Order: sequence, then structure tokens, then C-alpha cells
Amino acid sequence: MPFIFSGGLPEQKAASYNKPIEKLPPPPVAVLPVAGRPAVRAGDYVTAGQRIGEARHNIPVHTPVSGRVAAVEQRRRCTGEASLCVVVENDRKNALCPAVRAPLNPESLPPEETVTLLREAGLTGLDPLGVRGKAQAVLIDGCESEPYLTCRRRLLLERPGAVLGGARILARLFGVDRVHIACGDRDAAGLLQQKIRQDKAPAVADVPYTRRAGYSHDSCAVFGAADAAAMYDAVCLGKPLTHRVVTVSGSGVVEPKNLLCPVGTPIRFLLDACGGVQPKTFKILTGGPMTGHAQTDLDVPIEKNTPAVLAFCKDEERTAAHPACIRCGRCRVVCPEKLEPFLLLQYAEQPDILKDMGILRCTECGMCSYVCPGRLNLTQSFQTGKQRVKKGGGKT
Amino acid sequence: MNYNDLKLTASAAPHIRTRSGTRQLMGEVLTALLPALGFAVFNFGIRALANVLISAGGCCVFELLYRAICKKDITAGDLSAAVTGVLIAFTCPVTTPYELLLLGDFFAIVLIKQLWGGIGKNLLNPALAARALLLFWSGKMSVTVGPRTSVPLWGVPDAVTSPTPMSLLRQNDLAGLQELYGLPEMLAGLTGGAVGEVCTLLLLLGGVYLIVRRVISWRIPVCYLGTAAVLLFLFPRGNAPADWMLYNLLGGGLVLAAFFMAADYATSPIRPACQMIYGAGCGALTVLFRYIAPGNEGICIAVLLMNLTARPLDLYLRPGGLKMLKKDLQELPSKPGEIKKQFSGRLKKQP
Ligand code: SF4
Ligand code: SF4
Repeated sequence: MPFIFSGGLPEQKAASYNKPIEKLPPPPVAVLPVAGRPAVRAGDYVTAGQRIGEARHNIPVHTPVSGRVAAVEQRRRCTGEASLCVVVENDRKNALCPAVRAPLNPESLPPEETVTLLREAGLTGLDPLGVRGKAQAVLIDGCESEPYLTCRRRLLLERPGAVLGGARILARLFGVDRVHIACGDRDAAGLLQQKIRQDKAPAVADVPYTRRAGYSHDSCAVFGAADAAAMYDAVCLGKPLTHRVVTVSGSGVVEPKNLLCPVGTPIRFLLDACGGVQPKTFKILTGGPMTGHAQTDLDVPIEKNTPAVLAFCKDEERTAAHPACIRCGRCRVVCPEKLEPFLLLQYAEQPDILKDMGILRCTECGMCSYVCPGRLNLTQSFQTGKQRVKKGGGKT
Repeated sequence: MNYNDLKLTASAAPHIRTRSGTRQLMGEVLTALLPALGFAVFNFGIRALANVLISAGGCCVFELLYRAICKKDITAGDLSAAVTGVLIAFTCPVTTPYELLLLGDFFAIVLIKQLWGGIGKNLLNPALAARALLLFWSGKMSVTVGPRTSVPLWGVPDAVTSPTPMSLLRQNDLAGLQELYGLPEMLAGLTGGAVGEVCTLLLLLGGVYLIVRRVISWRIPVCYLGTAAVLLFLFPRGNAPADWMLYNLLGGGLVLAAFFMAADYATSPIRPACQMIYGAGCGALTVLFRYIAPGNEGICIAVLLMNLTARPLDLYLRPGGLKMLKKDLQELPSKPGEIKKQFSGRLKKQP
């Protein structure tokens, strides 16, 4: 039996657990944030898959739909900041961009070219490619990272071939003979194992049998399951990254679903596709419940790294009128970075002490706030703390 | 769909939290104390229940009043005051006059807890501090009745002051104690003594419940009892070390203190290594004070002393803590002034 990576928070996944991925009806617009100058201007006609500019870190942005560019203007992103966005009005013709390549055979492609190709396809999460040559192990993460999310599970169940194809590409790039796929549930693990066995070519992937990896943190390259599938799409199907699977769930959603959406779809269309929201809904999030962003404007678009849109009409936040640390030590136990949130909180005003205590290691995962019985906003205070430390670091 | 009617709120992540808040945790502690309370009623009659209810109610009312007068958020609902109240009643003999219990409540809640900033900020365990204060009324506090005595709701029964296991142990009269109560009686709590401390078995049950439910960690109680056991065995009074150790462990509320007072969140360390040191310190000091202190209250003083070490342990006994200690020591001369300023600020805030 493969190891099932489990534990962590109560999962809350039931609502969308067994909902097959559905295609979102083509949305009327796609809003695509870009950094720097876009390659198109208002009025231009663009075709699906056409490159229209670059996002941060020079990652190419492709439009998922065809149509006229309605505007290039400042719009709000789901992170809350404003950014220049290309707004494409969908003409629903789905005219394909001629630049979208013909499929290639990854085996015949030199690794360097594969890497360039992946970057050109607009994939995110490629940073671990930087440790090529050094990494002893490559891991594909098929576990859901937060409660409510089911998009990785559905992807593994419905596109196991694509994920395994991605594993094949990764194995070649890293020169390893096995890529490990970590699974969070039995169904996906079983299916993947079956696919690996049926595969005619020699197996390059396995679903690990134990949690003990035996590799140090630095010698292991970790990719998301969606990244692996996108690699397969880019190389073997010639498609740039323009769509992703998004879980729409939470107590406020009428009919929770897993949706395959064009990147850039405003979140209101995802909610529409799920029957809308309950009238008492008071919070709508993009992203998971632990790290996601609360939205008041439903015209913000989903992005390549948005795993979910959640709506809540029941209070699961459980704030307190009088938050107070009771020194229970739970925050310390759960912190994955082995920080001591109760001490960090005590010195929130003293950046140099915060720095000594390692606040910059905080990943803002939200675990400490989640468990805190005193209902302190620990994670939030560490966000500001980190910014303060970074600023102070510039001065001295 | 039209989403314009929704009242959407924005707030920082995370957007979900665990169910178990301060109130739920304190509720667990109260649950863990229930069996021992049940036994106390069986052993000492309805007066035991009255003591506990009055003391818990008193604590809640004092907390409510203080915070209302100071115009702060009302926190009495978090049940931590109720836990303090129950513990105060548990450590006093069943004959304690109600007014003394209420005095202890006032001292614990207002002077020890709220003046230092409320829940989690107090340096001393409020229940133990109150118990220490009540030592000054030792005349009224040492009227102890034997097991299975029903005490009237009002007044003090004139006749009986029966020896408690602790008072006999203080006189090194192990033989006399063994004659009076066997080990099974000590374990079951069929002895004289304070309301909640007699039934070691049910207290252990409650303690294990707290550990299993992950409300407290095992480290403090186990290190506390372990250290005390070893020291008692190594340095017995008399020539029956095993019996001496067992009677000492079972008598005088050691188990109550180890699980419910030494392991109190606010006044014990958080880091595991510090918790072990702290527990061991409590054990060692308890034995020491049982041997040298004039009164019966070794535990009380021992744990209160160790309370003071909790925060320094957490702060300085960690990677990088030494550097901080040096820095803090350099700045020490300016500290007393600051403390005075803060304290007078707190006093002034009251009308
Ligand atoms: S948010 Fe930061 S401090 Fe809190 S648990 Fe996560 S990493 Fe640790
Ligand atoms: S979890 Fe909350 S209450 Fe407990 S020690 Fe950490 S900050 Fe304090």
C-alpha cells in the first residue's frame, strides 16, 4: 500500500470531494494582470493562446479566449493590489492562435530546450528547476494544501495521464530514474499506481510507500500536481497554461463544484456557474481558507495560482471581542517553521528581536492563528512584522 | 445572479479557526475537576458543593465587576475565573467560612489576575496565591473533619478537629497515619483534608483526561510528581522510605497541585524543556518546604516560587536567549522605574 499523506486540519472537503471537474461556460471577459508593457493594445484582436505580455518574474501571459482587447487599464487583483490588466472581450469563437505549437516528443528534445519551452508556456512554480543537477529527488505534490480544496485530488483522478506525463518530463530534466508522487487520498493513489503498471514505457514515477524520504530539504525539488500536468500540456500537446481547476465551495455556495476555468475569469462567473451564493453570505475568498484573500469586489479575476473560490455564510472565523494569549503553547506546537509565535507576538514592536527570533522564516501559513484559543491574529501580526523587519534591515 | 446585496467583509487570513477556544479549554478543566467534586460531596456533605459554587460564583462576579468598573471587555464568560474559584474551594477545608473564601476570590481575581492585565498575564497562579493569603487565618482554616462527615451549611461543627494525613506527616508520625488510614483509603480519599484534595484517584483520572484531550502536556505533572517521589524516597523521615513516599504523594493535595495548578497555562513555561525543568523544580521545592516550612503549605509556596521562573525560562532558555539575557541585564537599572510607572499607570486607570 502506498503511504497516504494525511493529518492536519479538519478537511471540510465533502461538498466537492466527488464532484467531477466541470468546464466553466465561456465567460464574457478575461482579465489578465501584466507587469510592464503588454504586447497588445486596446482594440487589437487576439486569439486564444496568444502571448499578450509578461507577469511578474517575466512569466509570459497568454489569453485563454479570443476576441478584441477592450481595455488595458488598472484593475484590482485578488491580492488586493492594483495592477495593469489586459481585458479581453470573449467573442466565443475560440479562434486558436497560430503560434500555438504542434505537439512535440519530449524524449527527442534536449533538456535545455524543454526548460525554455516550459517557461514560454507561462508555467508558474518552475523555481525548483533551478536546482537541476543538485537535487537528488523530485517530488510531485498531489496533496491538498488547505481545507475545502479538492482540485488536486480531482486533477489526479481525472487526468492521471497528464500528471504522469509531467513526471516523465521531470525525470528526464533532472536525470533521476524515479519521480515520487505524494498522494493525499486512497482513490488517487490507487489510480496512479494502476496507470503506472499499465504504462508500456519503463516506469519513471512511483507513489511512495513511506513518509520518510531520506532526502534533506534542499536536495529535493517539489512541484505541484497541476504544474506537472501543465508541463505535459505544454510539451506534449503544445498548449500554453491558460486554464486551471478551481474548487468552488464553502457554506455559502449553493452547489459546490470543481471547475475548469480560463485564467482571468472574474470570480462572479465561477459563483454563477455554481448556482450563486446564499443570501446571508458575508465572506468570499479567493484561495484556500488559511491563506486566501477576502474579496469585496467580485470582478477580480482568478489567476494561475488561485486554487479555490470560497463563500461563507456560517461563521467559521470565530473571532473574539477580547483576544488574549493564555499561554497554552499550541501555536508553538503547530508552527511548521518551528517558530515561537507567542514570543514573536510579545516583541511585535521590536523588529531587531523579531529578526533574531527568525520571523523572516514565517511562511504566513495561518496555522498559529487557526489553533489559537485566545483568538489572536498571530499570522496577520507577523505579516506586518516581516515587512517592518525588511524595512528596518534596509536602514542598518 | 446579483451579488450587490451581499454585505461582504474583508479580513486577514486565516479565515477559519478551530472550535476550541479559551472557553472550551477551561470547560475541559472544569469537567476534569467534576469527579473529584462529586467525591467531595460524598465525603463531606452538601457543604462541599456550596463552598465550590460560592467560590466559583464569587470569582466570576469579581471579574465581571472589575472589568465593568474599568470599562474593559467582559471576559468572565471564558470560564477561567470559574476554574480559579473551584480550585480555591478545593484547597480549603470544608469548614472554611464563606467570607474567607470570598476574600480569597477577591484577592485572586482582582489583585493577582486583573491588576496584572487579566487572563494569561498574571505572574502567579491566582488560586495558589489566594490559598497563601488565607494562611494568615490559619486558626479558622485548620478546622478539619474526618472522612464521611456531613458538615452543616452554616457554621462550624464544634466538636471535631480530626488529624489530616498532612498534619500527621508533618509530625513525622507515619506509624500513626498508617494506623488511621491504609494506602487504599489514601488513594480513594476516605480521609480528612481539604475539599478537593483528598481523592487522589479521581484527581488522577481528571489529570489523565486533560492529557488525553491535549489540554495540558504530560511534562509538568509527570516531572513534578516524579521528582517529588524520588526525593521523598531518597530522604525519608523514618525508616520506611517506600511508605513514606507513597503517603506523602497521596496526601496533602500533591496530585491536585501537579495537574491543575502547576500546569496552569498562564504561570508555567511553554517550551517543553522548560516545562520539564519547571516541573522538577516544583517537585524539589515542594519536598524541601514540606521538610523545613513551619506550616502545612509546602506545595503552595513551592509552586508560587516556581511561577516566577516560568517567563524567564521561556525567554532565556532557548537558542539566542543568552544574548537577550545579557542585554536585558545591562538594561536592568532602568527597569524598576519602568515597572513602577507601568504599575502606577494601571492603578490610575481605575476610577
Ligand atoms: S503563520 Fe508563521 S508563525 Fe504562524 S504557524 Fe505559520 S509559519 Fe509559523
Ligand atoms: S496559541 Fe494563542 S493563546 Fe496559545 S500560546 Fe499561542 S498565542 Fe497564546
